[in-house]
Amino acid sequence: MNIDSSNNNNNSNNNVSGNVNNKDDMNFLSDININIFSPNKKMRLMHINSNESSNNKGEKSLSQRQFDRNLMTPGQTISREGEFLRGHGTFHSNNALLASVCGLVERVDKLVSVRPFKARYHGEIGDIVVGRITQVGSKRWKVDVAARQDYILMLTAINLPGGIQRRRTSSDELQMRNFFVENDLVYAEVQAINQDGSVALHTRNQRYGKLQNGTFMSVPPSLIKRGKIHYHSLESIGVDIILGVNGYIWLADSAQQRQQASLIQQHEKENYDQPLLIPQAIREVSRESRIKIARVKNSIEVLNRSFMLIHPRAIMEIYQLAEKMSLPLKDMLHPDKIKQMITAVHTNLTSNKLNNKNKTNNNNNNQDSEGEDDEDDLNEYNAYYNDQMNTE
Amino acid sequence: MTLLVVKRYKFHFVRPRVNTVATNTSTSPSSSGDSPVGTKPEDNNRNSYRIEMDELFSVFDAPTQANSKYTKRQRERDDEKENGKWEKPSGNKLGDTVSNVNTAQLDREVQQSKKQRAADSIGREADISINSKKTDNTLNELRASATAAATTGEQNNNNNNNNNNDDNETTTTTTTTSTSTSTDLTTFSLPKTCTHEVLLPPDYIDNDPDLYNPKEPVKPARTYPFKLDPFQATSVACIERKESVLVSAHTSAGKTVVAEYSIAVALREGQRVIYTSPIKALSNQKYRDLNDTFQDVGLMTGDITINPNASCLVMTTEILRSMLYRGSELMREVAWVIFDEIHYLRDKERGVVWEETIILLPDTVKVSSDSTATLYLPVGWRRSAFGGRRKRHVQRGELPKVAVWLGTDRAWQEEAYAERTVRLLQDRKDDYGEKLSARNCIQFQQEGLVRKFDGESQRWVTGGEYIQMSGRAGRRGLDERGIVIMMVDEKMEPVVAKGMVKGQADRLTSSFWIGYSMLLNMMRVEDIDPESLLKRSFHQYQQESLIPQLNQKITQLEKEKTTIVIKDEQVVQEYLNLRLQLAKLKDGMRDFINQPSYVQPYLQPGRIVRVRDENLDWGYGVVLNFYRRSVKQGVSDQTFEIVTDMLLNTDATSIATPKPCPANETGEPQIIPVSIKLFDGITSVCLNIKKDLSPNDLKPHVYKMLREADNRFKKEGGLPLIDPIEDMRITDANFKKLIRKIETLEARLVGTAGFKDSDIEERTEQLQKKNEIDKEVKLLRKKIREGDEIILKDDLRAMKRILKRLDYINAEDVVQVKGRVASEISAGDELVISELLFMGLFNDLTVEQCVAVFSVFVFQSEGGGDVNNAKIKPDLAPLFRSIQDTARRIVQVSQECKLTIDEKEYLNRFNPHFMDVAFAWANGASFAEICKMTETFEGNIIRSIRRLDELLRQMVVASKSIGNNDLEVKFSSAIVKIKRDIPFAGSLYL
Repeated sequence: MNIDSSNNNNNSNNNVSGNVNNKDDMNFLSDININIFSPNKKMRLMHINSNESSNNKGEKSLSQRQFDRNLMTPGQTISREGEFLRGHGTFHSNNALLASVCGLVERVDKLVSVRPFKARYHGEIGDIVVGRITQVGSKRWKVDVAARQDYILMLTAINLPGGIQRRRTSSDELQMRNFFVENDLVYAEVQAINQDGSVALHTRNQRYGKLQNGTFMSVPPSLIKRGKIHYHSLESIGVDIILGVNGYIWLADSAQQRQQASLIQQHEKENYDQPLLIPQAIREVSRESRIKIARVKNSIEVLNRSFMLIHPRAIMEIYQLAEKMSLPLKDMLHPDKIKQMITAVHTNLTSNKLNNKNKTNNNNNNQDSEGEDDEDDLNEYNAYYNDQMNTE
Repeated sequence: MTLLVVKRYKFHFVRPRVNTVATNTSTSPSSSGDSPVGTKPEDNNRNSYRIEMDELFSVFDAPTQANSKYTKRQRERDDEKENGKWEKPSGNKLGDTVSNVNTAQLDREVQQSKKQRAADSIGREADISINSKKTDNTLNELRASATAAATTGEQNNNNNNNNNNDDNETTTTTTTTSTSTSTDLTTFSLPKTCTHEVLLPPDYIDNDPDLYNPKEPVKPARTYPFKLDPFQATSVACIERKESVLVSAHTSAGKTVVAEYSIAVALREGQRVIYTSPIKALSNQKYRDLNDTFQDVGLMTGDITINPNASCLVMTTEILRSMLYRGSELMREVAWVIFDEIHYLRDKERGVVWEETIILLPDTVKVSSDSTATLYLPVGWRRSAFGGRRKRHVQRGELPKVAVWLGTDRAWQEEAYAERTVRLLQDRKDDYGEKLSARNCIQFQQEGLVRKFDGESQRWVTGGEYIQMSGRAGRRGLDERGIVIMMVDEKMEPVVAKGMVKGQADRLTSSFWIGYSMLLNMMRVEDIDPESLLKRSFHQYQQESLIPQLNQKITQLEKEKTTIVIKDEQVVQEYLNLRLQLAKLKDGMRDFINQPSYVQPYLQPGRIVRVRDENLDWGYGVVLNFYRRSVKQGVSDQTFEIVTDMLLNTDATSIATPKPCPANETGEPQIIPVSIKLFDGITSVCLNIKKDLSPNDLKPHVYKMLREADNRFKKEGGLPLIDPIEDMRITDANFKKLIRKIETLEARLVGTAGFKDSDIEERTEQLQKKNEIDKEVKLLRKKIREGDEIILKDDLRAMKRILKRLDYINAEDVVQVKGRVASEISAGDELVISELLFMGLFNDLTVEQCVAVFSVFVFQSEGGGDVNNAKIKPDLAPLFRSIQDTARRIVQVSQECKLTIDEKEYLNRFNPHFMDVAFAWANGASFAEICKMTETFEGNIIRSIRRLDELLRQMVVASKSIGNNDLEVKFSSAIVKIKRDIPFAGSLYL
């Protein structure tokens, strides 16, 4: 589907470009100008920030041009000649390398692969995931991690209470429901990819395991950046978040989780053979905490809806922005507000970049930023988001 | 064998108290070894042994301390004379520690300061010795002297700790004695006592009275038909307490009992237990042994997997390591890990595997380890070495087992040879020969060679290895005595032989290093931090343990420095500076003159020259002959130097290395090759030497003439020298400049204030001494700094930089697609292979060509052959070139990232000699055919093909991970093509 947006010079918030789906929450897209030259099916996407649109008219930044070149739709020719090594998301046809998915081309030396924008999660060893138990089988649980198939968590791959090292017996097998039952959430790591393509998870140490008393949400996996750490504690507001690489996210109250963990530990040490019932006093999450968690969740949702990378800094930025704008929780996801916030974040980042030196003064985020990178991310994903919208 | 059994907190270290009777040290390898069994070694020998053991164990203690900061320890000393045979190390021996800093000595000092701490602290004395009443004064003296000697070290140590904000808690050590006696006493006086130490973490307070004296299990998991040795009983009791045990006992002392017991305990508790051994063949053997005893046993080696779900798994340490990296679920069920032969820790190439494994083991796993790094051989030993390949009469007596070792490592042929030798021994129909049965007596393996290839070069086996290997001849309790026959086919220096046979046990030193594959494996998992791994490594610990000693040395040197007082130091300094400059210039001049083109015309036979080697003045010598010799230096350009055969007067008393004859002694004239670089003036005198003299007559004759000439010219101030300018006609402008400089300097020297002082020389000497102390202090300081830092941190950083440069990881240390590929590859150079893969090299290659390319990474030849002139098929040559180019690029990047790497050595790792063979093999050639294609031994070919298979399997996984089916199919079919025939036949030992 083609979009023709004639208005390159759009400063107005209310101006909605023609063919965008008429869902209200996408109004903010009017900020973004999209040009598509359809003859060779090559899409050109251009996105201009409202505040600097007049200056940048007609110009494209280097990263943007690169982005244009790297954007592929299924069946599009990536390369006709030259040596290349075929990677994920590509296929050979008539001596040419074609894309099999819609996404960005990535080249590593001769390896050419296309990273899809929207795909199911594909596990790699060492990935941290949040999953939901779907089945209890013999000696194993099936775990939904938003992948093509359920991943496997073996009975032998979990920690027994108290961290006891021993062989799993048949009585352990009978007690499997004491560990996890259907719909439980687990925090685990990808252990191995088997020959047949099935993927095994494990809970490497005591930190991993069942997740209780918190909130779950899910975003597209591509929005989560693979990093060194996926368990973050937002210390300023006392909320723990686990950003699973598979796009599943877990939110909980830090203090409550700590108490709960020590209780569980205590219990396992003393009488590990009995199932643990966490008392109400510990399960209780205070109203303020719940509000905070909800606000974080909405912040993530804002990022999700505007197709921006989700990482603690971005979350905190939205969170603080919403607080500054004294937005009530329920209004955070109002399309207009999302638009406002994203614009503000953009401005913030741009001004960051411009006044790199005194950024600490006019910048209300509390962490050091790598402005440049983030802007690129924003560009990339905003543009992509539009693209998605259009193709849908 | 070393057995290590590990648990979280308490660590027991048990070793048998060893009787020295069995050690026959008086037999030198050149003798036929006829000294009677049971000869007592000389007392001082025993003393030194005792100390060596301390040294050894001081390092043995280390890994546990490094791993978990055990600081409280109970230590037991040998405090009584046992049957009158045991002698304590004398106090002054231990006190004499500061003469020079070598590691061994420092270790000893570490040991001492530990002992000293013992004296300070209030510890528990758990004296259970039955002989304790007899404890004589020597021990007290010993302690006193050790205390005195170590006080300074202790203080320094504390200071150091404070300075570094180290989290070292105050160390508490308890010195106790625990000696128990076994009832029976055999002819060879088996060990009757054992030493038992307990290491505890710093903040751990254990009030358990049984800790130091664990009770025997009420219901033992396993019983034996014989009475356990004290060390066995102690170890068993500790295992029953679920605590880690390190057993250090000689070969065939019965460490297996400890291992078996820990297996039995694990099985009883429904836990898994892993038994690791360093060698595949040993694993196979152990599997069989254990299978007979326990039934529920599995085996996992690179070749074969039997019953992997068993409770007791025998595997090689490498497999265990890779399981730990992968976080195999197996590890959740493992309660005990037994490390056999833990002394492999010091192995250059493989030691790292042990270390990593121990570091990576979960806290809850207990370790039990065995080591034979001791010096004592329990069975009555006869050692004999044969020169050449002629067998001789060996030894009379009962010989159930003979270990035969060979001189070189032509494994297969030689084994056959050895077998023949033993057959011949049998044929002799001696009383012992009859008792030899071919099956029983031949205990050899590839390791059983006198010379060994240790991954870097050929070397003689070390004393420790000797003991280890000779342990195969005879088992205690089964055999009365064992015989070791060394087939030496190569000249062996007496010192070497002595060192080997006398059994200086090897020190356990860490050879920790880190590979890219391992680094990447660690980085892709969330919570393993490579730096913390390094911090915990044994290598690091060893470096740190030296610091207090170095500090002590510095204070001492500084004290010494203050004692030196020099009058008018300024003046002397100036004088000294001038003198040093002058000396330097004169050396420069000498080097200038001693160039072949200038010197060669004067090298007639009979020419008298002065010779000086650094500060060693040889006086006059007579040139007899000269020739060119190539100097191996640098990478490619071959330079020559001229060497003269020269008659020099040497010190008659010095045998090993020639030394100049002292002034007022006769000395012994000898002909010594001397490089012309050592000439210190050529005289114009040339003796007339008669040509027809026999070598024996020549020396005195020429020497007499030299003396005569010397005497004749004495009055004229020595023999006239050839003038460099007038006679040699050196016209180089630089040379003249040099001479002018020397002249002005000499003038200035005469003009200095101190020149006329009569005692100036003395004072200069003192100043020099002072300067030397400064230099040494500086050096020590540097060493301390190095020890403070994580030793390999710099390397680690450089490696990370390289990985970033090559896009294996991104700026945030997150492993990227290339890194994922490289982390799958461990059978070959991961960087080069990944680069080749991403370059698309394999895209257009046939399956066979791929095999040939990979063969470059798996084939290790024994040093021979030039990589650049390999005989390879023309169509394979460009492939090898691209491998080399890639390797060069890696070297270049490494150098840019400041990782020191020896380019030549690195490039030599890629060996093309196997390419043709691998190509042929992939094309279906028979094993006999490929054996003909190369001079390599069959064993090597088989090993290479098997490694090739392993590498290909890793490549399949790697190509899957980048999503390329074509390569996946290609590599899979390569596996099919090479996996056939003899190389993949199951082990003969199973």
